[in-house]
Amino acid sequence: MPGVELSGVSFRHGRGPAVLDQVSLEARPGEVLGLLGANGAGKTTLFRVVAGLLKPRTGQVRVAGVDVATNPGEASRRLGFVPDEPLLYPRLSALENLNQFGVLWGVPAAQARPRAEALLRETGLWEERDAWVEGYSRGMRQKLSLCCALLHRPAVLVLDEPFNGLDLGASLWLRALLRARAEAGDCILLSHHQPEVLDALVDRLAVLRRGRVMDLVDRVEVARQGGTARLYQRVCGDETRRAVREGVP
Amino acid sequence: MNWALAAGWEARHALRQFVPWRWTRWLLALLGLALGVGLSVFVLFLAPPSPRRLEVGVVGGFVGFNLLLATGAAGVALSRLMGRPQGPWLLALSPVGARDALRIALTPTLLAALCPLTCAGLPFALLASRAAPWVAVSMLVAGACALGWALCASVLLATFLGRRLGKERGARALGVLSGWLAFVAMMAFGALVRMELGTPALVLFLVLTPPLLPPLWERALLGFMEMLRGTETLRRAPEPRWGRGGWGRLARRSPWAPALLALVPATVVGFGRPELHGTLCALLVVAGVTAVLDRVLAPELALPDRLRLAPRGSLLRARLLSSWGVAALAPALVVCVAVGWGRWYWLAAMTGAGVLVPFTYLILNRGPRMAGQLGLLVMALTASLLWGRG
Repeated sequence: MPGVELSGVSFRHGRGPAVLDQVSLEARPGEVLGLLGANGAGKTTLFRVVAGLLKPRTGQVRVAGVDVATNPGEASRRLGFVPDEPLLYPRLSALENLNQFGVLWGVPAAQARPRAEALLRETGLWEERDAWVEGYSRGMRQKLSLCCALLHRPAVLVLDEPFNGLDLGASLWLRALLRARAEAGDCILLSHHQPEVLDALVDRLAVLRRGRVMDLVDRVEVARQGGTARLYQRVCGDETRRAVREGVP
Repeated sequence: MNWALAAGWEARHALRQFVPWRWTRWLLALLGLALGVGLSVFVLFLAPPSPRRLEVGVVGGFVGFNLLLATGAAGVALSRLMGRPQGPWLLALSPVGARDALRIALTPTLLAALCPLTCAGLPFALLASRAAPWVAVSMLVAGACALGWALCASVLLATFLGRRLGKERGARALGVLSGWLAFVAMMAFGALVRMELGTPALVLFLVLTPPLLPPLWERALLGFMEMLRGTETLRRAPEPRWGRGGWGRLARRSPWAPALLALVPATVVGFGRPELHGTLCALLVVAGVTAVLDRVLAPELALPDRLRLAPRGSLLRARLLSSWGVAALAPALVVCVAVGWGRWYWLAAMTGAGVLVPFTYLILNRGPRMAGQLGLLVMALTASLLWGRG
């Protein structure tokens, strides 16, 4: 049973151009699947479709074997999602946020408390556990967002640029955590823009360009082609050159 | 650097944040103008200015009215500036210097304070210019002085509240206080224009303003700048009650209680007049319940993805709407029953409108949700018009 399965998924905003165009992708349990692509390639949209926040025009999405369209509640119970903008409550403390997410995801109080405390200690947020989140730095918010996504022990993790704003210690912690979760059989789908992180972390890499999966290669093949940066240059090189020439971000 | 352009952009940005829709901005401008013309006609009717002498009472009344209303309007604008988290950054980073950056940032406050003078003073001066030119001119001059004092008073008040309560809470308190002040000004308008201040008081006011106001304004500006730049300690919260949602805590930490308290004087004054009972009940049932639910659901309306993602999101939203909806509707219905016992059609309509309000929060899109709430308010007001009179 695949961790995340997309078959023939297309999406567009209103009558605009296709953001996702017949995307078929499978992330297996026990692997870290990296998603690579330029800004606007459709990575965030793909994640939002997997999380059930956007309905695809065509195709089917399954999370841990559960159809997102027909059983969204069960799908989101099995999914931990870290969006590009954290979904935290600014006027609650870190502990209160974790309690709130526990309530929202149906984690019993007896389990939520020790899990929350352990996560806050691991991420180094323990000292600031009772401070309102509105006073947190970007990195601290990102750490707490990860804690909230991990609280209900999901089998599938979907992380949209999870390393953004993290300090070195937290980045290393997250890398180790993701590898450990993958080895324990969880499925992890993530996007990131730093090639060295992807080189070190992912088992397979999908390159997305203008809403289409252009390439899907495993770690050995990535290394054979000279690493993530080279692979990206080969698949999206003309787009990068055009962006540099025209000043497009 | 083009100062006028920078100030214009700042004012436009503030206006768009305060009133997001263009048609609403035009509607507000027209309403303001209509109010000004109405007030002027009212004053001319109450105390027709004489062409031979200076009507000190009228001018003094307008000065007092302008002072109160402009302080209120400036306070509302200042509270938005204080509550904006990037305010201190603007001062620290701006290449034009902190003081000039603050002056640009204060443009919307000046324009807000100028509104009462423009809306009420200018039409009056135009209407009275032929019959009583002295009244018109002295009223405009005194109005401009009142504007300066109002700005200064609101900046001093903002600095005091910001220092005592912190920037964000201070901004909220200032917003509420300013709302009250504007309300008092509107309610006291009739009394103010009939007040006989006497010529010496007015002359003293006009003479003392030029030497006293500029140094006070400089000091007020410096204090406000220091308050904006000041850092605040992190706010802390007690241990959560594990397994129980924190929406109650969120509601307590949001500005809903002071905002609702601000409505109390208007409601009390309104219920003293029996002919307004029906209208007030309709407002209480629809706008009152909406105000409470808006505050409770504010974090979820700001980030609707959270409840959409959560497996128990729909269930918890329904629970929140039912529990807080009932808690807000019950006192409103008690008031309706006390006011309109025996008018069964009206009571049924009020109950129906109130019960339907929580359902509008199932619409996640803000525009259609507000249209639905407006529809319910119109329905309740129509029912009050048809069956609400004893």
